[in-house]
Amino acid sequence: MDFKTFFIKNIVMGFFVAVTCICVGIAVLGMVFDPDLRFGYQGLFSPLIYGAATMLPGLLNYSRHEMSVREAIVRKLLQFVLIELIVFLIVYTGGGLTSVSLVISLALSVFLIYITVNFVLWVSDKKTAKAFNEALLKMQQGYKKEKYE
Amino acid sequence: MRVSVKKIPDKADELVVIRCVEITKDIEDIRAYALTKGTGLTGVCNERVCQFRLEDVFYFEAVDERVFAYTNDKVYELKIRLYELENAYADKYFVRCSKSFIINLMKLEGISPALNGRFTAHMKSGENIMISRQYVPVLKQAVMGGK
Repeated sequence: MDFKTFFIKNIVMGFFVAVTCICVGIAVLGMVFDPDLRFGYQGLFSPLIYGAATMLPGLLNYSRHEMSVREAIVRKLLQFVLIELIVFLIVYTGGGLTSVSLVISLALSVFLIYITVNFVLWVSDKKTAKAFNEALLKMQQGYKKEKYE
Repeated sequence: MRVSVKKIPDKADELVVIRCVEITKDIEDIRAYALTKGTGLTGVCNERVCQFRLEDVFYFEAVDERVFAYTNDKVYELKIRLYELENAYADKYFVRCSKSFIINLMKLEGISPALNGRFTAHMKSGENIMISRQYVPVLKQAVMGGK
């Protein structure tokens, strides 16, 4: 896979899924920890900023050479740790880390969003595999027919 | 180069002999072509030279400098490079799926997603082979065409 395909498939697609999940995450956490907070239009940019910032560690998954399963797992774990660090850094800089329960909830939210993004990418691959398997079966049936006629 | 063809009665005795002063790239190419021509292959199994059918091969694997053909119950070592097999049998449903493997699409049960954009090829023999990200488009092209 070249870098362009990798970027479009993993980073861009992951970004949109992440932004959607971040919106839900902010809404849920906000309602629980700070239900009276009001923000202006600029607040709408925050899911986009979080989405863009947290997609950057996704570049770790790109490699010109073929990665072993172990290497892929290590990179995925590293990506997750970096995402957590980035999110905490942004929230901490904005003075948002006010309680331990918020820290735990935030870490859990990031984890859930990370799982969701990867799940969506996996579903996309699953769909590709299904289409491939159907085409393969047709090809094999066509080959058998050709062979025995 | 002079070429001589001699007719013989028995197909099993068919043989190509190349007489040359030194083994050049051209000679290697002719040798590789002769080895992959037709649907019969010759390989070494249990220290014996055996013939087997191409359609019985599930996949070819390169290990270091050696190339092996795997059928349902036997493994043959071939005196040929993997890329030569890839070129010779591309029109016979054999497709490269990673740096070291060429799989027979007619012996492929299906694929499933694996980690990090890769896929796993499930062969009808029950074996699983990793499909590299790099070769996913090649496989898709071979099976699904332009879709």
